[in-house]
Amino acid sequence: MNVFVINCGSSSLKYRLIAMPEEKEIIAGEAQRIGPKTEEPSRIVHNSGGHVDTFFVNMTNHAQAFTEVMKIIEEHQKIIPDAFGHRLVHGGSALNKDVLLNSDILAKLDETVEYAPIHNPPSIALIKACIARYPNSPQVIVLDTAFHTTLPLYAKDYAIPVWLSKKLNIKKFGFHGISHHFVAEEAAKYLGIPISRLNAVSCHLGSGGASLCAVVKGQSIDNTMGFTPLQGLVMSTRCGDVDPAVTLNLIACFEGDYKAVQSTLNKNSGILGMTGTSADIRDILAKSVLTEGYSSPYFITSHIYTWRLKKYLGAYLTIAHPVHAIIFTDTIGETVPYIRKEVCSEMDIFGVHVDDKKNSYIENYPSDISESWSPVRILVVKTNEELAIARNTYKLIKNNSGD
Amino acid sequence: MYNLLRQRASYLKYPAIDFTRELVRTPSQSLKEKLVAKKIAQKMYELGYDQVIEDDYGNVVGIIFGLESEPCILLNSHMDTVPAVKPSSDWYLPPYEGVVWDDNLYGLGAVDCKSGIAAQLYAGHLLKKLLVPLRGHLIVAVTVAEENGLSVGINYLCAKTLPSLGMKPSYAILGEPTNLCLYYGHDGWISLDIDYNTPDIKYARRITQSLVKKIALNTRSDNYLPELEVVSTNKSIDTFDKSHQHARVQLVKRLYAGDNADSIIDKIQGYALDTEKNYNGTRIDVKVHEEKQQLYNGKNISVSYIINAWETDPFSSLIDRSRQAITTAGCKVKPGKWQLTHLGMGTGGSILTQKYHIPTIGYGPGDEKQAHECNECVAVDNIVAAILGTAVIVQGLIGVPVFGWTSDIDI
Amino acid sequence: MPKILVLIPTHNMLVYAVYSTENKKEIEKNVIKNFRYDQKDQTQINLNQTNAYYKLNLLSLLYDIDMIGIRGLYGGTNFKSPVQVNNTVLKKLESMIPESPLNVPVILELIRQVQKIFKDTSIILFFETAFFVNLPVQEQLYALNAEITQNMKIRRYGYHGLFHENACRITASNRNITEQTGDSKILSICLDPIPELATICGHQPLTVTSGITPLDGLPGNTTCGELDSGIIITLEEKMGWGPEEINNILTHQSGLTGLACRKITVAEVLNTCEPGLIPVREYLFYRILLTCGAGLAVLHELDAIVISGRYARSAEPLVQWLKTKLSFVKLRNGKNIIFDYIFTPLELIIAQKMITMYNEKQDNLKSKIITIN
Repeated sequence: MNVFVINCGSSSLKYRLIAMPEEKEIIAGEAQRIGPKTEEPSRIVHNSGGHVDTFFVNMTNHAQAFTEVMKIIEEHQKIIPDAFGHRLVHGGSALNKDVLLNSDILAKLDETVEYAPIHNPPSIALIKACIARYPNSPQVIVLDTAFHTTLPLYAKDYAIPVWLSKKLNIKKFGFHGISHHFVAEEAAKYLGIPISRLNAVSCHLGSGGASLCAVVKGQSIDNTMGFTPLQGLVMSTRCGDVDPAVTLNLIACFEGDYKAVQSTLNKNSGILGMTGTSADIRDILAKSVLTEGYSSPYFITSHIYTWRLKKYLGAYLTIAHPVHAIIFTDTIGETVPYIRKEVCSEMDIFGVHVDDKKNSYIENYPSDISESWSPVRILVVKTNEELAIARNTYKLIKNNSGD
Repeated sequence: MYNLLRQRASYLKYPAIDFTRELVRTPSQSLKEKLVAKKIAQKMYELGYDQVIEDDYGNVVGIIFGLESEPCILLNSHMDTVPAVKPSSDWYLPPYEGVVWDDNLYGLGAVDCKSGIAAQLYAGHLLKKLLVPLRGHLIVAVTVAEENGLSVGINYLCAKTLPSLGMKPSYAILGEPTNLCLYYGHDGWISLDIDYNTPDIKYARRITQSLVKKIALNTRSDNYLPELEVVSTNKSIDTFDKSHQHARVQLVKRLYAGDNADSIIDKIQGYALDTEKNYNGTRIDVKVHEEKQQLYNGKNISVSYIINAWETDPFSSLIDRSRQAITTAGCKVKPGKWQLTHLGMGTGGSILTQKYHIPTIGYGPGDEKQAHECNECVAVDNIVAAILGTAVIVQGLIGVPVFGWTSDIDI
Repeated sequence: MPKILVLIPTHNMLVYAVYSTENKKEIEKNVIKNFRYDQKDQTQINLNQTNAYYKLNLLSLLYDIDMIGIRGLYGGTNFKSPVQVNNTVLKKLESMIPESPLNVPVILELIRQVQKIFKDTSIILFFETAFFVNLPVQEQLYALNAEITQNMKIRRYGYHGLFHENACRITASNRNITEQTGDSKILSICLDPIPELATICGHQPLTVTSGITPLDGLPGNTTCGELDSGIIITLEEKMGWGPEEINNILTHQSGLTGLACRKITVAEVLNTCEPGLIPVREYLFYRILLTCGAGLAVLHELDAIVISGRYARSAEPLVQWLKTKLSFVKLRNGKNIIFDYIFTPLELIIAQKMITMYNEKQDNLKSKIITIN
């Protein structure tokens, strides 16, 4: 079965065509600069069997981008996918697991917009465009929040009045579920443990968002993000955890303009907010203490970033004990040895021992960077959300056809 | 903090009622406010205001200093009343006794605006007593000559008194009757002297009727509120005394938001010109009614009888923040506007907003319908509610933010 | 023998306690309710007629008070240790009103009142935040825009410094930790109406759960604890509430009370067998466990976990549960995890510090006399 996977960003559209169950990638690509005009023109970078082509086409929205991508695939590859897997960041209260699309589900999709007003609308527009073009192909929605539906109540709840939580469906949803689930499965394979027995702490550290996930018996029991992606770790432009009084003070300062406060906390905080220069922790780490000093905003920022990571790691190692592995993934987790070292050092109390040599240079993924005698393994696993979506899509369609 | 404010406000109920009664028992018709001014000043001292001033117009100003000078808030009520519309014998409870009966306080000025004075004075006291820190200064100004003097008191306050203290309010709250709603404006009115110079005085009545008809035809008539009133005519119209060729009619016309007084006068002068054509040799002059008055402290002033319509944007942050603060304190609130059921009524909001550009709202315990009426009365519970509501509005607008802190945790 | 007087004010109540400097025994202790108001009509702002005035005046007549200790919640970065009141201190306190608007003004008024009654008696201020002034910068700061952090003076404090410091000192001493292994490494759990956990290395706190205000961190009787900021934005957007209303909900109607749907305390939840409250207890226990894990990550090693606070006597169920969950943790001495309980009430903690100061003062006087002689 050829599964076409679509992963929307705010101005991009990543796609892959993957043959399942072989998990062979046939086509990969990305539509870039979708939406308003930018300095460079919008384009589709298309990779088929190692051959890369770039198509400059006008794409004012995601639906149009999808049409252009499919034109390329149909005309150049002469392929029509057997099934489609769509990533949806937030299922809201309408959807809490991966689903095969039908008219009922389609009708509920718009209800999810309020939960992810930036991410969900382009994904939904794309789903509708896909259905219009391929009405007879099975379409699966794979949710970033689905993996975290197993959070126990004491992890999911917030200590606010119950009537309020119920009225507004306030609970911890958690995010990056597709990635956390994928790397947990890969880690289980690597360690030779069935996923249903795996206890792990998965660290999805991206150049944008970041979250940790505590996994027990293959299921998510906690995630550092919460009701929104704002909670938790220090991120590129998001503040992560902050005293509620600060948010209230900001709302008062902005005279009730909660959108301005939301924008400040989401887009002008975190690493960018603290340094004023870059949102990427790699840029900050590059300004070493030798050149900038211990009191420089760069050093302090990198210290705050790793400190909060370390605290959450300790917290999740405790609740998920006994842990088989810590898993680092995504851009920062996969490629920045310094972060892994800082976070895992002096964690003997949890049975975590990092091997500095293995950590500093990784040849293959997945890789084990822990000391050979470390009770807790430290794995670096490349995330592959598109493959994860393809797997879930295939599984759901197979189960459905089996039923 | 709000629980604490509510609890403490409840203790102020009887002192505030007693003070309102004391004010009602002290007649203070416009321009004769001397005694009541003294009582207000004395009460401010007792309640612990940081500074109490009586200015050159007789206004009484109490100040609670904030940590800085801005933002600064002005609470304003007027100490003068209109004369009783009917003799005391017609009131079923005497107008100058301040009797409390059936949870209502009766008396001339109870609603307009003596309960408002009490509510504002005690609101400031409540904040001071609870040590609620304010970013800017709280000014509680009780002003003279609002009813008869068309807010000359508040005009002087803003023009001279406050600048001499180095203070400029960022917001103002009027204690005028709003029935605990947040009022954000009202219509205005203009009083015009129509002077006739005519060879035949019997024309005067006809001319008046014709002019009034013409003005009435060209005014809004889509509500039940009075648009136009003939206030008075002088005797010469009725005497047909050939030796008197001059007559004067005083008209009061409602002004709406956006109405420009000069253009209204021009328009009516235009109607007058049209009317003149039909009556040979007649000349009609239209001008704003003015009076010379003497304040209670002997100062002579000249008053123009014009109150412009005013309105604070109902979606402004002033109203939004006020509404949020009152709601948090557990009080019900709804927005509205004064109706001005009689032409000639008004508030100092016109001066504050139009001349001094100070965003203004009204929040008072009395009901506008009771103002200037026989058997005027105010619900005593409204006075306590107004103390609390005013205090939380002030805290919300100029208080130091208290988010995240609690004052009620007992050891 | 001279006595010392300890005063612990909130907005509504004043706890006072008199101790002997000779044997540290409590002579008198009570609570004055509505201490800032007078009996008669509750409106007077005349400080000479308040309930506190009458009682304090009586104490000044009954006892020879040599020192007075006042506990303040918030001392900002100005006060890192107990400080004797003088004009400079008063001026600094006044400048701190915007940072802690509900607490500092009450302290200032009380100091003025005490100064009038006990004219030449030293007044020492003990601030809960003092212990946390030197929190590591990576713990102090939130990941906010630098301008906002600076303009709003945003940094984290702890609000049970007196309990934490006392508990850790006693535990380290009782177990000879410092002698054996150098600086002690302790997780300190203060169970109070707003619970707080701190990790302490020697005398240096490394982490604390509270934030710029006591609202952040662990859930309290009625306080929400840590909360996704997105929820606050949602409340504003969907419910049309202003920040005051949201604050009222988060400080007075949330926490364990919000989860239990009725007024409840941390102590009740700790001890409960009521089936309906088990989820509430699980929530509290889980939050504490998470913060224990976070603390262990930065401490690297552990000597003890210590429980203090007003609800310490109710901690047994929590302790038993934590023992099972933290059974994988070995102490520095290789033994299994231990929990210590320190039940010292706040007023005695302050009294003990003051008695130490008093004795030091006496020793200094004696040595001066000897020198002169």
